[in-house]
Amino acid sequence: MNEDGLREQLTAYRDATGGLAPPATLVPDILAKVPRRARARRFVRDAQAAVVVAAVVGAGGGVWAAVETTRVQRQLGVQVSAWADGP
Amino acid sequence: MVDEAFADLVRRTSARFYQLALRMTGNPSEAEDIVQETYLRAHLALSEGEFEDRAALDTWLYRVALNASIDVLRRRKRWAFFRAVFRPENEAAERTEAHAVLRETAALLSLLPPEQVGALVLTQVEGLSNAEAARALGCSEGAVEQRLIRARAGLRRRGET
Repeated sequence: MNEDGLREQLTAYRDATGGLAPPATLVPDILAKVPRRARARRFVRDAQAAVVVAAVVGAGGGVWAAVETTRVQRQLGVQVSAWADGP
Repeated sequence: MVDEAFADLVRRTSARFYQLALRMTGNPSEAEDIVQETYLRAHLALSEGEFEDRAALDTWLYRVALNASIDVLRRRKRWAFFRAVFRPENEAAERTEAHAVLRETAALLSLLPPEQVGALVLTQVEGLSNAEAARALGCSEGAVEQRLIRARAGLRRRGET
């Protein structure tokens, strides 16, 4: 394909895609589903972090563990040190 | 409060990100998935108070949508063999003239590496300058120019065979 052909093709592509609107259901779908999925993902991530921190605290992990413990405790509202012997 | 800010963000930007994803992939269902994934990350960022500045959030999300599109193109390359064997049909592809152009150009762009598609779509279709495209792609302006040269050469070579 030569330079003119490519330019023509990409211009047609821009015009065609510019006219294609997102489906009407897309925004309601996002507003209904995404916040739930985001909260679930955050919960899983924080729970994983809590398990790691609990393991490190249990093993006497030092400054990093203390900082992470504070962060996770604040986010989850639980005492991570209580998990040192197992959640 | 987060949900209000989030709803406002989605209404304001979803059409733009959908079109970017559509232009990168040429596939409406993949574009919808990319937009969902982009807003998932936006919700996490908003609820963690990462962005006070709306413009910074928009720019960041544009990059997220772009990277998610590049990931989809990479995954596609990995699965190309299976698609060639099983040949699933694109449900919307033949419906309108616009979809025909979409399919034809997507087939053309699928010949290129995802990074070159990014450079070509951002500059030639989205209308960004090379400097803006470089910021969105997280590379230098020189790298964008190189990718454009290679993309054009690649398409020219394919046209000759």
